[in-house]
Amino acid sequence: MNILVILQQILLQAGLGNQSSFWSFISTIIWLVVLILFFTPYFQNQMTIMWYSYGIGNFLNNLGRLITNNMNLIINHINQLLRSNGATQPTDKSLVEKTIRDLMEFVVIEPVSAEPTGLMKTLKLLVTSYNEKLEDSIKSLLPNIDRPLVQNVVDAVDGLRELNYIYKVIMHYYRLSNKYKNPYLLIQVYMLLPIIREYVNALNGAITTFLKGQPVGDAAGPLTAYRFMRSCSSSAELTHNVKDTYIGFCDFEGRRVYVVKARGPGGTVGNLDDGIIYLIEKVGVKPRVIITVDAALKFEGEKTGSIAEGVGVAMGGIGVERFNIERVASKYGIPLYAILIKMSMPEALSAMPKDVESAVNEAVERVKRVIRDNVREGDDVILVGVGNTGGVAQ
Amino acid sequence: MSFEYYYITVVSLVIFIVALVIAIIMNSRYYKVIREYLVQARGAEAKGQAMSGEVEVLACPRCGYSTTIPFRVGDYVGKVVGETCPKDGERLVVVAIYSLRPTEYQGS
Repeated sequence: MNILVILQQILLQAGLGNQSSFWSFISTIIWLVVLILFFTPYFQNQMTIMWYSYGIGNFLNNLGRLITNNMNLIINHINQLLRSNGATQPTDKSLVEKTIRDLMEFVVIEPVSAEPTGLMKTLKLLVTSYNEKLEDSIKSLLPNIDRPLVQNVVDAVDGLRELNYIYKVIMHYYRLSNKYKNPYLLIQVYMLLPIIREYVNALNGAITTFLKGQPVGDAAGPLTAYRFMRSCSSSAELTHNVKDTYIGFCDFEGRRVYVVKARGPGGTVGNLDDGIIYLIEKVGVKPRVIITVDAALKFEGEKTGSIAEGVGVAMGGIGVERFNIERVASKYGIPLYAILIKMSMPEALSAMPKDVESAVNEAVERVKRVIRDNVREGDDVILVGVGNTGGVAQ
Repeated sequence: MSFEYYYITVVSLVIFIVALVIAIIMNSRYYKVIREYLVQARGAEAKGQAMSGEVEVLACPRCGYSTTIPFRVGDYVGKVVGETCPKDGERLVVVAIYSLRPTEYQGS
């Protein structure tokens, strides 16, 4: 206030004596300061960082809460499973939490790709080792529990691990940006936030769905294989030692159809490549065509449940299984035919929507048409239902 | 009243009206989105015969009779359940499990 009095005295001497002139001068000065501040790069940077930090910070808070809620959900589910199995002792919550936290931090180190020879074999080994580690750890928490139920918990923990990874990556850029006062890192994350949010919501829905043992949208492939098997005659299962994989055969209008899918109803994607290699190289099946049916991500504007056909192997993931199937098919000159059931990422990961369930019937009809068109009576064909078979048996 | 006061009043009014227009436009967008969600949710409920959420379809493998019930934890596609067919007494099989809710709501 003293400064204002002194300033007023100075202005009085300078001729700006009356009150209104004095306050208009002060307001002009304030506006000038604000303008100068707005044109200062440092101030702009600070404001940008503050603005984007607020949005990303809120997202991180929500994601953190989501991870905690889902972890509690999994712990309670494990508790319930043990109780339903007759366990009288309460579950050691800290042990369960520690195991899940360890699994969430578990890393899979990508193999060296500078020398690509045998890369796919190494990748397959790493994926198998990771899946076994995950299942063994959950199995140690759930002794004497049926395998499908353990597999469902494994899938849920895998989803939680993915959520935790997203949290850590975003937190990394958030902290880094604030540390180096660099708004551009934050801006990039902020621009991707709507897409990341959608994926996070989908994963959140997937964890609940997996725990309930309900089919997700990605189960469209195995469900197509299941329904096809039910629609043809003389179906039987082939005995084999391919882990987590179902191989059956049936007669469809005089053609022998071998059906390969992950073994349900526990949540797993099976080893479909091993199943196909077993059929061709061990059993001696000579298929006229290999048909793969899988859920595929739709473009914005495409309808959920719309079906596309093509050539190649319809299969997602890191590409190991697809590579093995392509290799065996090219070795024996077997045409590859693909049927894709379109859906969005949230639909693929959440409980199967009605549109996808209806599309499965259409996919079965398409499979039948492809077999009629490409395979003569008396010939063999392999049908592969690709995807997570959680909630779908055989 | 001096020119400054007129000027301030007019500028304030213009800013106020622009803000009001923006608010109305933005709100109409939100209303549209909310209305679409409500229509979808109602449609899904109507389709599911007043059932919402997850449902399962039980079918008779012999005569094809089918019924839709709310999803029960532990059931899976291909499971032979305890219920029997009212027509021929055959045990029913779960042939489909799906969600009637729009996918946007499932994660929340």
